[in-house]
Amino acid sequence: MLRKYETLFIVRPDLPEEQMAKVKERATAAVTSQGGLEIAYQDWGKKKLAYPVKKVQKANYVYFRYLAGGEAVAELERVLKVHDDVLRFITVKLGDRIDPATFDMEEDRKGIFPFNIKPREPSAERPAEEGDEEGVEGAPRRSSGSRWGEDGPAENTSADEGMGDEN
Amino acid sequence: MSTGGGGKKFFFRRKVCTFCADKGVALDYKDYALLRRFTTDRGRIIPRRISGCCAKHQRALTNAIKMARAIALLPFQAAED
Ligand SMILES: [Zn+2]
Repeated sequence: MLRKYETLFIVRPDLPEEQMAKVKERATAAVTSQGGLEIAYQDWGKKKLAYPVKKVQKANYVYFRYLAGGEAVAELERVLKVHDDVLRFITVKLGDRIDPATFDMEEDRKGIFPFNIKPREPSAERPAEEGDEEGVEGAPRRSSGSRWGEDGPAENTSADEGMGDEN
Repeated sequence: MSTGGGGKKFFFRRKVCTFCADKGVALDYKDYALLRRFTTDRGRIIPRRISGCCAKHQRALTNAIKMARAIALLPFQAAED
């Protein structure tokens, strides 16, 4: 039985591709080396930060979702913390007691939308450019989301002290 | 001076909690666009008496906003202007 986690982290912008690849390699290896399983690793692109972090105004948001035990999270966070190109990260537990044998990764991935910007009800302007998702229609696209408030705010760890410029 | 200005944000007390009313709206710290609607221009969390959120959802909202701040999706306090 594993738990489902997501770690969102920000990486220095304008890194060469191979450097970004290295970040990915390190992050995913940290999880898999502890018996975890990658569900999704997505680069959500560059975004202006709400406040500068380590003098950086804009950064790349990277989203990593995985099945793992607590040790994997610890290892991942350790790796991210020492990585110079990673500015900050936050980890949230999304699910408990998951049997990887029956877990449908494909399906789970469909519930991931960068910054939760989903193709809303197929009404107005935006015609879901991601194309078809089988049998959605009011289906629980949001259900894989996290539920604070109920079972407690799912172990959230924001980390990386070191910054804190002015704000 | 930025207060009344463009009538940008004028809060009315809402009778029902946004999140109770619309079960489709999930509270997620990554959804900064949604969360921002529950903060003032200066980035402060709008109190429950104004937003009309129920206690449960206000707590979840506060939580989500704080997490969004931690990862620089939302400001701790107003910066610009
Ligand atoms: Zn409510």
